[in-house]
Amino acid sequence: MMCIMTHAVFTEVAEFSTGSGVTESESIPDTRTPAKSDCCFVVQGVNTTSSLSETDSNALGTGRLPEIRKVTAVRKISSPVTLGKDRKVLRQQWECVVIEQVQNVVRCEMHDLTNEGNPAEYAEIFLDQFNTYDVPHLVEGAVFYWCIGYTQAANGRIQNVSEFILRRVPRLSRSKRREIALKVAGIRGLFIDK
Amino acid sequence: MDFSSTNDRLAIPPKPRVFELTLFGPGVGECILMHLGNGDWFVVDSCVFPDCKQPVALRYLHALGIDPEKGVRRILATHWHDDHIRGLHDVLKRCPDAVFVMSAALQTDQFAELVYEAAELNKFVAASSTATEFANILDLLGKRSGGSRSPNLFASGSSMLYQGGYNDAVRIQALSPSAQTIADTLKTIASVICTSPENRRFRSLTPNHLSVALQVSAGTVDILLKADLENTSEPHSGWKAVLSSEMRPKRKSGIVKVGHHGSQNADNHEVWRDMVMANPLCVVAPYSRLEEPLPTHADLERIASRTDQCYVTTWPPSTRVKSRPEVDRWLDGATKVRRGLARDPGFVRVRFDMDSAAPLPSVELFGSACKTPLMKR
Repeated sequence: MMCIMTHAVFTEVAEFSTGSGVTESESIPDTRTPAKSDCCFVVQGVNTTSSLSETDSNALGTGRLPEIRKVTAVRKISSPVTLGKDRKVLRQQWECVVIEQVQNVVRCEMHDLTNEGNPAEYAEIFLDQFNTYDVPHLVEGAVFYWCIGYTQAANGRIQNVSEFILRRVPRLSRSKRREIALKVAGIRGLFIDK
Repeated sequence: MDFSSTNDRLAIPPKPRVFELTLFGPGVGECILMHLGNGDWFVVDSCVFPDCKQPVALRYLHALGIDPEKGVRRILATHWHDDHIRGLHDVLKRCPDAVFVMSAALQTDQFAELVYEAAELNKFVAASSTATEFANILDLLGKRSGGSRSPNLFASGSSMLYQGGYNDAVRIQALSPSAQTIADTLKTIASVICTSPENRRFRSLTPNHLSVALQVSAGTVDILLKADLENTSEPHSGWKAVLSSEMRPKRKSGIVKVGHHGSQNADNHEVWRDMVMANPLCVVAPYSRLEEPLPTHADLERIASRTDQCYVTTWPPSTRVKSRPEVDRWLDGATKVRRGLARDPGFVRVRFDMDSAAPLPSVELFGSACKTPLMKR
């Protein structure tokens, strides 16, 4: 006999009778972070994925009842199980300053933020790599960040990720504008021929 | 690029009677230093070599053993493209007595307002920002003068920017921008200021047309520094305006800093014919932030048809980027072109004796500077 611990947590929502004399329950996966009181189940039996074993399938044709497997709660886990948190690992990140947009590319100068010792690069990036709504904002002087790395899911699955994040600039506040106006007034004399 | 004083040939300062023109170019950016004689220097634009954040003009003067505070007389920002003004604020800071010169097309406090707004919005950007550089310059000029008087010159098509040097034989005159360009730009700046703050763009102006091109007369030799001034369809702007100006010096130049990194849009047949001697000595600073870096093969062929002595500050102007296997797959799939901007930079130094009746300029090449590829044979 082999014991397999399953990490999925299920919530029982309804109990119904199949007419076979066996009371079964329907469950849906719970995506919330489990509480301390949540249990971990041990399934007794080798096959935990298919609902009917080979023996059971054969038994259906013969009118014999399939073997009933017992599921018992055996222990509580003292620490919570984390399910939803993916880990994001950054391999390289650039700050890119747009030079211009030409046909299907955006021309930019890329500065490596991961290692500032690396020389700047010139690149022409295809516009289809960007979010459609960001494309009109890729004008001269605009800044975006290109992040390349991977996400590691809670189940261990690794997925490579390339992401463009456009830097959206907030409006200058009124007080900042007043501050600029005062500054300009202070140097007005620089622009007057004497 | 070795600027240390152990580099014996590099570190020899020019004699008081020697005129020097040095063009620096790391692939993106250019800076010109001129020795006007008697220890007076003129700085045109600024750039930074990739191995050091200090402006190249200050590094070079330091290597020659010259104190910029005492030697630099003028600092000119031909226009505000970032490849021409990186580090300019630091240069100005180190030269408190130097007169700062900029294009007369920007002689409005509304321009300052746009600069400060753009600088504020670029505050958190790590990459060098043109607006931030200019805002720092305006701050510094304001602090020095108390903001009440103009310590600087605004250059236009007829401005005399310098007169003096060895035996009082050096004159530097601005050839551009034209009156028409100045009027148009001031109008554009005013209209930009009138738009809603959200839609204002510091860079929406076209700065190449505002460039300050220079003609330098040093003794018997004339030098044409074409900046990034381009040809336009308008008769009263760009090179057409320079050619038609009655104020421009009529002497032909024997040394030329080729305009706009050798680009076709700054090449003008009449300028070569009317303002430049036959087979001039040419210098070019390449520009690699394009799909095909400047000067292109066609540009080199065109320049080669004018002269057989043309030198570039660095070649080739860009490099392959370092391979990073874990990210290259993504980069290659998403990009059409990708290349490193930095390579071993270099500079071209031209010197001649202003005392000589027929001076023969000497050309020295440092770093990756070389004779342009088509002229090697």
